[in-house]
Amino acid sequence: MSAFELALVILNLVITAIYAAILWVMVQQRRLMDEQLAAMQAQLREAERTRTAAHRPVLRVEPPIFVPAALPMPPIEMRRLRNIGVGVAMEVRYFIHERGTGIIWVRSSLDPIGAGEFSQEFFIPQQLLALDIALIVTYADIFGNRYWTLYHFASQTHSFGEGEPEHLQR
Amino acid sequence: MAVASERSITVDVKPISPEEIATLAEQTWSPLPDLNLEYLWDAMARGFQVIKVGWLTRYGPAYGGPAILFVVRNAEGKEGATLVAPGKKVAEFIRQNLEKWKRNGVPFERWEFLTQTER
Repeated sequence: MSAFELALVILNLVITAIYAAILWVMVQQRRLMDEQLAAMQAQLREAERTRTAAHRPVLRVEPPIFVPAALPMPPIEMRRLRNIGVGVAMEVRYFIHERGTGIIWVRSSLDPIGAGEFSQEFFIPQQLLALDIALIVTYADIFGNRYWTLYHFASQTHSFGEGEPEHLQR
Repeated sequence: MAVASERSITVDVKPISPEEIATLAEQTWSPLPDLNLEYLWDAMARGFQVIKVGWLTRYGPAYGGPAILFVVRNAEGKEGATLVAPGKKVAEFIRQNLEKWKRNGVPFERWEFLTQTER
């Protein structure tokens, strides 16, 4: 191998080393940018969570109101919701469904409910209380985020969730 | 625990003729006509029989408007109730089953909810 060929090989090696170094720097930069992007997205999510939490409505089912009816009929049971959250609940809809069978006996909608306020009364046919029924209320905050509340009559328990209730999706 | 409402609500239940319920169901405008009727059909397909029909002046399934109340019972004695929004289909359904329900002695009632303004 002549001195000229040796010089060419060394030059090639040097150029390869430079390219490798440039590539390594680019990969490192890309990694750094990904980390920064993830941090920014987390910050945005946190800001969004804080923003919605400051306006979040929470609906709770109130104890029944008994409305007197003509004798010999028993009094009729009415229910109301109370918004115990800090924002107005919009697009309030409710479903009374039988657990196990999934049949929906009543579905209806209510006017928006302000923070700390009661909803209109709504009517629950008393025959339904003989079945194992639950009341599902779906509602939205002012940003359009959706929430749901499930009230089980027999155990008088609430459960809450965000988004659409999975058990109502087909 | 039960609480008394600040608004005083009473319900006035009176007998009504079944033809009148069918006419009211047909002629009353509803934003969502015949809402919940398919649930009633579903219940009847599962062996439930209608034992009472009522015309409700409020608290219906479509934005709290008027409704037709169907109380149903199955062979095991389990009772249920469905509120149906007024519409042409439900009026037709009532007319179709009228004779059968009359034979079975199904009561027809008008439920008028009276609300007084908040004190």
